[in-house]
Amino acid sequence: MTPFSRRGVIAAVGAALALTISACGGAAYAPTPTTSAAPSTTSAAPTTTGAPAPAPVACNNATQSYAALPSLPSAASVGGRLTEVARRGYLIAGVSSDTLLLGSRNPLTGQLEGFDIDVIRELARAIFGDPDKVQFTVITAAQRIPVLQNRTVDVVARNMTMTCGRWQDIAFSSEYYHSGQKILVRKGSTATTLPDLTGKRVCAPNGTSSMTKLKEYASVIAVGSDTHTGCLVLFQQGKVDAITGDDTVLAGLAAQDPYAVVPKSEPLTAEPYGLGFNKEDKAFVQYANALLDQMRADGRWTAIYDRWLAPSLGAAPAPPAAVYGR
Amino acid sequence: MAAPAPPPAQATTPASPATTPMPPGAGQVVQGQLSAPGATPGAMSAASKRIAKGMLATTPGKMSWLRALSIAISFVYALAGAGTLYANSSALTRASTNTSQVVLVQGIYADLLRADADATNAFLVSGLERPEQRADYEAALARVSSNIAAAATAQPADADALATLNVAVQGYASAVESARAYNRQGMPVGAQYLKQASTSLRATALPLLDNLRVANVDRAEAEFSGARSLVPFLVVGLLTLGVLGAVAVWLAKVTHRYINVGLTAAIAAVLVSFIAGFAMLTSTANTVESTRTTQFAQAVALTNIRSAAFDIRANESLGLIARGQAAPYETQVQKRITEVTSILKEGRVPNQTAVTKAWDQYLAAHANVRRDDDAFRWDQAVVTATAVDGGSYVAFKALDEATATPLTTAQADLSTRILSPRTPLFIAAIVALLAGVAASGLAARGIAQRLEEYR
Repeated sequence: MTPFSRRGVIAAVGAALALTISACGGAAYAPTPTTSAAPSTTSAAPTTTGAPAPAPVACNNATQSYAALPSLPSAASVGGRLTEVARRGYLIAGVSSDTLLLGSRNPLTGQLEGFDIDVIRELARAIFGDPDKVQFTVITAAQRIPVLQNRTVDVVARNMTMTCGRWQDIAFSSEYYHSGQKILVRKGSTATTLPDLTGKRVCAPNGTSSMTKLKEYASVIAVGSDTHTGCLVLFQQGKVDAITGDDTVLAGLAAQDPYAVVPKSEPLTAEPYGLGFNKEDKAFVQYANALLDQMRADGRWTAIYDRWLAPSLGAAPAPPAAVYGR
Repeated sequence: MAAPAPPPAQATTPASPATTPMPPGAGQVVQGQLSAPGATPGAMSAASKRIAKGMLATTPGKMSWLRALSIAISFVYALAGAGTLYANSSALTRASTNTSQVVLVQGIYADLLRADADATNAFLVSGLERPEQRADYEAALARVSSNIAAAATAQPADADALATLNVAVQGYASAVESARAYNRQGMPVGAQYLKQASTSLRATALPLLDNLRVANVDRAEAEFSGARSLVPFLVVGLLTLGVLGAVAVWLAKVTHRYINVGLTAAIAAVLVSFIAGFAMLTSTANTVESTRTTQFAQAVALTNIRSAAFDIRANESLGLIARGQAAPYETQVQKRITEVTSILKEGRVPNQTAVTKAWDQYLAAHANVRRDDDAFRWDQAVVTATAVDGGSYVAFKALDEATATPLTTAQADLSTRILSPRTPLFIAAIVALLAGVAASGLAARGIAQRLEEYR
């Protein structure tokens, strides 16, 4: 063979080899991304922003309700909505299921329980002689007024603050609990009120009056969450230093965590709670006011307070006085 | 591979440039043939070119050059032909690895949602959770852990994503344990931990699994198309046959003899192995395509249906736990229902009738739960969602069972079928190799016989 043809053979074989190697080349894949630019799976995370804080309406009679009936008559004889309730045979009440001590579901029994729930049970006892004749309807804070307006429920007991703005849409009973905004801190903290928490991170649910108040303190770092219980998780994970809200709600949080305390202090705001009714159910409101008067007088109010709130908030104060004349 | 022994006859001494002038026409013809695509050997120095020119001036010179060309092209066929067949075969192996990885990743996805469905549903009955439900949760998470490890070994390119996934799964499991502990003590904060666990699962772990699925489906598709490709083999085969054929025609013209036994035998060997290889490749392409559209599509569709069912079950429970605030969870449920409806509409799910029936019953049971909850009959809704003797649990279990067996079958068939053409392809590659080597020897001998006649 000539040198030239040998060279040709070598070149051809070399080319063939190169072709073969490239064809059999191993697979080197790009690494799978660990972050996604646009996650294709959506999360079912609800972003409940809570009820928008009620717009303050200038007035001085938010706690003023309709005069109580002189005594508790037979419910059927009162007329209007209350007569319908008596005929139906049970009361429909809008309540919370996640506010410990006021209205929450006991996971062990499956039953709703708390201060608000017991007040409603007393109402059922007055109407039917049986505290169990209630259908509890769990509602969100934002649903409180709509469910009264569209008559899904007869009454709402869900730590609802009486405001002049809300009086435009619904009716309230006399004040049955006097709450106020306070703070919850770690055991051992010296802070007792918001100004003591300068530079600290404080949590409140988004869209609530508690958050509005919190933001008035510019030196405090406000952290939002979806609910107060969400704030407790952040608190337990060390992501916030304190929580602010109504003292009743904070008491419910403190009851779930032995290292959380609500220090004694003057409340930042006044939050008078009232039972909510449809605006047209004036007679029903007057009936409820008569019941609340009885409960204040005969110690039932104090007994309910002691049962739910005293362990966290201390001895029962005098029940809030009723203001009538609307 | 043993190179064929060089032909013993050193018949062609280099001729001096000026000797034996040829008619200009003949020389041009040869030049034209020699410039056939792919036939020109590597770069030549100026000296070699001069020698080449001189060689090509004589018939024995041309003949010896064409002999070298025939040997070279036969070797090209031996190596490149066998190589392309082998490349298709190894693409099958990689396609199988990648589809297995897709199935594994989808399995992790389904198991995570299965665990979440168990955890959230058990939450509704607090400390009274059924031991089987707890065991199912633990088994699902155990499978997730071992499958993450298996997937990381199977595909190093997925290792980083799987490591991140592992962290997310651990975070999920620990949040679920916090939720469970608080729930057993009757504290509402437990529900918040559970919500956080489920939310983070869907915000971090599931998108990672989507990345993994997409990456592996893309890899599998790329290998599928590699395993299906016919062109490289076709080009190599036709080029070889074309060059050998042209040499044979030229030889016949120059020597005035139609048949050169060696060269003809070489062409026959290449042709037979080429036809066999091409037939094998075509059948592989069909197998790959049908596996991709049948078993692979079935396995993916069934896993998607199962994942959707688990996700719906989890969201049903979460909606009940967030009493009165089920709307965001129900939105997710409706999205899943839309996904599955379109999968079922394609009609390619194995056991389609039974699966569709179970799916419809499951949706009806879920609708009952929602109707009761929306009508403020929460206790009744919880009973429907948690009772083991009826309601959505029975429907859910029926759906689980209707999809589990066909999924196992589809997964097993998938791997077997993808790999089935590997052995025939390997044999075809060996045949091509041997045929190419044999052809080079046969062509060399055949042309050498003619060269002898010029001595």
